[in-house]
Amino acid sequence: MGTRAWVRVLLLLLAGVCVACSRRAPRVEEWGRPESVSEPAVAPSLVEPVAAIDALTGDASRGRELVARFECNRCHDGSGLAAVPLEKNCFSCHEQIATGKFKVSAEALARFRPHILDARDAPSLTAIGARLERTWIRDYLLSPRDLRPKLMPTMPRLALDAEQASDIAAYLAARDRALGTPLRAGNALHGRELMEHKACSSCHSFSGVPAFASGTAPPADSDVSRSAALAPDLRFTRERFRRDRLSAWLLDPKAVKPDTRMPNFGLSGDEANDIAAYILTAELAPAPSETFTRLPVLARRVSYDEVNTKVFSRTCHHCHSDPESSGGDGGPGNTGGFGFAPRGVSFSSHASILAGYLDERGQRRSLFEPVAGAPRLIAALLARQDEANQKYSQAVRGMPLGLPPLSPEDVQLVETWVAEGKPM
Amino acid sequence: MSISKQRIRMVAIALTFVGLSSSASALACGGDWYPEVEIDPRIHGVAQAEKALSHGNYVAAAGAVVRMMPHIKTLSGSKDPLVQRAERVLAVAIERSSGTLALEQEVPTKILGHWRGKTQAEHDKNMNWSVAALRRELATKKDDPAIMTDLGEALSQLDGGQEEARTLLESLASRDLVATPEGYKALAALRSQKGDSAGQELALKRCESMAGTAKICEADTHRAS
Repeated sequence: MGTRAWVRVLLLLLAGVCVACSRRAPRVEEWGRPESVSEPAVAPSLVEPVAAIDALTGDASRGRELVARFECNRCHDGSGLAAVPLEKNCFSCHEQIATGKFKVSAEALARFRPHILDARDAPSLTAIGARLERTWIRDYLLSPRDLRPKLMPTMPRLALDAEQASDIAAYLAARDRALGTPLRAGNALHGRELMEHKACSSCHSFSGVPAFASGTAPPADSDVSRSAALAPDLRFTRERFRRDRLSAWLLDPKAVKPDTRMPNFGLSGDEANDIAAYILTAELAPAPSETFTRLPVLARRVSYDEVNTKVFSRTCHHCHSDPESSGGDGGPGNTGGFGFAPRGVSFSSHASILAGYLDERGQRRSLFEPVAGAPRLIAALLARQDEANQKYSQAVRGMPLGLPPLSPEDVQLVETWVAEGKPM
Repeated sequence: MSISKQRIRMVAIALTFVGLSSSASALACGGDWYPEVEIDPRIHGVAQAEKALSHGNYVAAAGAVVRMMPHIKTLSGSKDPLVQRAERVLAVAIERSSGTLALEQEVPTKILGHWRGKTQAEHDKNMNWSVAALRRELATKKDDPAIMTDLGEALSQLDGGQEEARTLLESLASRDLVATPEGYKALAALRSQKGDSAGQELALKRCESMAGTAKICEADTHRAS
């Protein structure tokens, strides 16, 4: 063979190698993680055809767009979207502050640290379709509630309607969706005994059933306690978890959701069914409703410094800050995010609070104009109390968004400050 | 031979350079390498100046800015948010001191220049700079009521600025968006000029309730005159 022929052969070989490489290399999904990461848990034969999901109500492809628009990946892993940069991530900064890696002075780090320890983790959405009921996902998106008693609730009530919630649920439920097997009947009584024996209550609450005898709380701020904080209250399992997947989950949690912190207890099939039977059928006492008593305004003077130290800087400032003085992007309540339009609200100073917010038409309005019989700011704080009991106002979104409602004393403090003319 | 010597010299120099550049400090970190974090001291300085301003310490606020950025006038129009914040502090401190900053105790006379506002020309220069700085800020943050309030307050003291100040502040007041007690104080003075005593009283009441003290709202002779 001549030189030219050899060159041709070499070129052909190289081309062949390139094609082979491109086929073998783990393909990165359009928005997210390599396939090899997202699909190890479910055996191919168990994967439900996408057509079966599409037949259900909700448009999964529109749902994926909405997941991007509402920026679910700012807090949750496993949404199918690429990771967000540090300054957009809700929890990475907190984690860096807690572990001393955040790039600020030592003094600032010491100042920040006590405020962030409660908000370092959000549950991952990995294999959510293999675990959770689609209708429950939809309902939860429309009315988020506290599922994890040991974790500070941070899921915001997003600005979405029922159709959008269905679309997102359709998308999430289709992710890593696996076929289940019908749950066999189990011995609930034995299931409870097993739960005592395995000390499930070390991590899980099960409100509404008689208290478990066993279960020692893990040491505070340990890895185990952080894992325990992610464990849901089991009273929600019957609506939340796919019944046809519960047994598989109890038998080998990591096979269902690779990044779960739930350990494998080495249960037998019968034991898993017994525990599932107890979780799904145990009689539940009604959940206590949140009670809120609106206290009268105080007779003493409340200054901006006081209300800022006790309430605004601890709560409101998280989402309504001035990007120039606080860094970051000003938060979703100022520069927009999580599907919310920029509202231009900053709780960074006395003057910035009095500078109001941008309405739907982009016009500046006061945070103290009357809405639903109270100044807007107060109406939002009161609406959040109602939201804790699943009552939603159309006139005003409850605040603090995604955080627990303020205590009656804190609401009273803000209300007094407003009633006194917002003094400095 | 001479080549060998030259080589030896070069190797020695190279080794010295390597020795100097690879510091032993990595060992102090337990063998790990951590980037050194450089903190811009002006961040803290501007924050302190803002705090001083909010507490009514105008001289301290302005002094902190001029000390940190003696060349701040040459930075006009800077897109650096820190410079913009410093400019805003200085602009408000100047107009609340009516163009005269007694900074001799804070800043060396050499760099103080016209900020003292000793002469009428220096005073005018300072007030005009203050208004111009606030206008620049408003141009970047359109319709921000806090800046509009400060601008209205500054304009109310500028010859020929009262009409614009009145329009700005009345518009904000009608929407409950006057962002500072000083803004209401300026509005009270402007209403008084127009003979609107009821309006003046109303604005003063808002000023007092917002300030938490009547002192800030007391009329001074140089305001809106």
